[in-house]
Amino acid sequence: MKNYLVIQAARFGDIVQSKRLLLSLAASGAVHILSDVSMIELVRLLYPFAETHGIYFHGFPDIDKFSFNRKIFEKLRLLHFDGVFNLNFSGLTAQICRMFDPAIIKGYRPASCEDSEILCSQWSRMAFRLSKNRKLTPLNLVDFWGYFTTKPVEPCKVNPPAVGRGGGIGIAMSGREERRSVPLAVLARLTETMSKLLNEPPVWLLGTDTEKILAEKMLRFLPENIKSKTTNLCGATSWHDLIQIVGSLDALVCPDTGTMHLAAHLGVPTYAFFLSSAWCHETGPYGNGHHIWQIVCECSPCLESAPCPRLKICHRAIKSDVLVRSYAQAILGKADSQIGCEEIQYWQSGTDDFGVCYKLVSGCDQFLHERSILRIILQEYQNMKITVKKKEICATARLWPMIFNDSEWMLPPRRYC
Amino acid sequence: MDMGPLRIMIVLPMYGGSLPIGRYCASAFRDLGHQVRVFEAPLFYSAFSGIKNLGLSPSGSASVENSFLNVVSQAIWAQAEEFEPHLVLAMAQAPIGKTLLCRLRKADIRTAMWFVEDFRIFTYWKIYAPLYDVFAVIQKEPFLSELKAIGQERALYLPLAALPSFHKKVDLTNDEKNKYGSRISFMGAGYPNRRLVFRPLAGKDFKIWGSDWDGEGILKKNIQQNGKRVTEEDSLKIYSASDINLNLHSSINNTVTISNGDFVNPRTFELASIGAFQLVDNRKLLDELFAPGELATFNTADELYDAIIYYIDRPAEREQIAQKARDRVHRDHTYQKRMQKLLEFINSHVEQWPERGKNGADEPEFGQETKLELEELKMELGLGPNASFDSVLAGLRKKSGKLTGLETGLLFLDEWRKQYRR
Repeated sequence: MKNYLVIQAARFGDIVQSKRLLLSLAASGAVHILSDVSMIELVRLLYPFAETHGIYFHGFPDIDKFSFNRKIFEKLRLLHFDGVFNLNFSGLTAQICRMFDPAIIKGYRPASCEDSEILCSQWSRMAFRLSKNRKLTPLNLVDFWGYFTTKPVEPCKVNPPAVGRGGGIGIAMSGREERRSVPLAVLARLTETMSKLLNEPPVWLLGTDTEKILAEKMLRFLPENIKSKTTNLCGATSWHDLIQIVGSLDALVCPDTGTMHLAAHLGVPTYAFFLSSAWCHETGPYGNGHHIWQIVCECSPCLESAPCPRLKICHRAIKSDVLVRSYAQAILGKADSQIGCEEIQYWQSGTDDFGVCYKLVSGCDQFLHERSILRIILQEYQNMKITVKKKEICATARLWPMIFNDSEWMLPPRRYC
Repeated sequence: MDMGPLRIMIVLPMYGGSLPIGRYCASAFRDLGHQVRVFEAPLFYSAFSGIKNLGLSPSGSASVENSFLNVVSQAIWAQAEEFEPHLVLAMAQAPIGKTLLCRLRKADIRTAMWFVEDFRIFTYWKIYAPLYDVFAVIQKEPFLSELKAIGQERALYLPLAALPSFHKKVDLTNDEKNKYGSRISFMGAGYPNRRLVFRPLAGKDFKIWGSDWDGEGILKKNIQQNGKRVTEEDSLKIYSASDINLNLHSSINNTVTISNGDFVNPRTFELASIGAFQLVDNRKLLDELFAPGELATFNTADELYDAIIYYIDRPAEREQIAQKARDRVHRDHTYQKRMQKLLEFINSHVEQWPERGKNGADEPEFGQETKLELEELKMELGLGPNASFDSVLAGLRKKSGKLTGLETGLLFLDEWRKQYRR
């Protein structure tokens, strides 16, 4: 039996999105997960088959944390691993990899003996190239990590198909930052619309302690009959509680959040709204039967770390009545191909042999064709069966270097596979 | 101003005589307790030669070469950004252009060049010297005044030197003694003055090593390995195996064989450091570097021939002089001394020398047990007990193989702390 270590230093959403890789590894061996101590309970609940290890990745570094981390390093060092999967392009996780034989490290590893340089695997380098043209990318993060193994589990087996569970509506209050979040008034309209269409079931406002006040503000936008059935759970749930509640929902209304990925993990339908830097083709909900509204402006998807120079024009689009109409139609299963607003696209999630895929139901996407060709090239990259004629691929030859880059074959190595 | 351990980046030239000197400087800085990173420009040399061999027209070639040098400049800048040096020391012919020098200045990184070339021959210093914070040279007047006239007021006379840890006598096998040994030898390029002076020695047990001796007929049998370039390591074997090492400074002037020029070449110090006997032509700056009796010198070709006859059968005298030269070099003319002098000069002449606090990661307040482990680790890494925490981290980064939990913990902690320093 093989022994694997997966290093995932990131937060909630990324831990859930590591699932395809973790399931794939678990199919052939024992899996150990190293994550931040604050995420350990979540990791145990999500992946009961894995052994978990927690260190301090976040917060201010001090001697106590150093001593704590060091003990864990000593422990991990003594375990024999056949593969170490470093999922983060990070100086921190690269240093952890220095405890292991470089040959067994997948994803990112430190250069053998020089300062802080991090070497990327060929697959990671390809993903970095794709991320330079995000409008076109057809690669979801779950699949990106999934393909750190040569034989990832079938996409349709990663998450259960999305089916309502009868426990009401969940509302995820905000995304990673305000720019990626649905404005409160809009969120209230979406809540009200779904509540009416589903015969006013209970509503659960979900989020962290810092979102408690936002939730209270949103309650003010709701009509009394819905407000009376709404419970503000922000900051009041443990990871266990959150999993229980989300797992019982009819649907989750959300921006691109960890809670959205949790719902997908549990097979609960998500009605997800992507704007600003959030891009559904990269981090949309994984599995069959999710609904996504992607706001597409000239500047989409933007860079999260850069200030918005355009007065958040994507927020104007999300306030449009058209969006609420499309959303209501989707809840009723009667979506129209026309949406009436150039900046709004409505997508439904599914899976194919390669991974998660999104089908455009309403609206226009000028990059649809190129993205689908890129997906075919990606499949070619992974030696999967191609069904589209080569002729069509040749017509878009300019896309090939994004996947198969000349430098991979021409330049001498400071790289590894 | 206080001058703690510094981060010093040395930019080597792509090729040429100042290349090994740059490496000796790096070694000396490390010996002085500083953290050093070397920009290995020789890595780019084959690409640069490739451009030259493409057969392009001069204008086409110049354009490609400029673009190439821009790439090299960017690589230097990238390394500087990463290493955050207090000082960038460029050796003569280092590929640092004007734009990069300005960029380094803007980034508050001090720059110095050690121009270990003859200012009369390599005249490009007129363009570049003012752009450096400090310009160290191996000649005095009128060079120092000329530098001042073009705006470089922080020029420093810094003669060449030796690196005793490298420039030391080598024990040779019998085969090596046969190969490298001779009564008289010369190691160096075949400049015109050398050819003229050495021709009368053609029939003697005289071996000539080094390149650029093409077309030399009279000395053909004396030239070793068909004039192949000799490595620094092999030079030590030649010096160690020869009874008399000739050291004639080069001159491109066909009419002046013994030029009696000013600067003293590196070979003078290297031979002395090894304890090898040398006959060296007199130089204007030699007297202040070596006292009478520490070197055997000559002023004319005839004096050289006479000296060879005199010393060839006097091994005790040769040994005595060589011993004195070695003692003098080890005492006063090491690269450690030169680099210390350079840093002191920068320290006293350049404003805004970086604060001590910028030296890097301060050692965290570890518990007693970890402190002891850290001491052991320093020894294991070949560091002194007072080595900075930065040096420990640098040593760990360079360490090959799998790291221990402590080592991983330290590197992890450093990466973590960097996030809070940004």
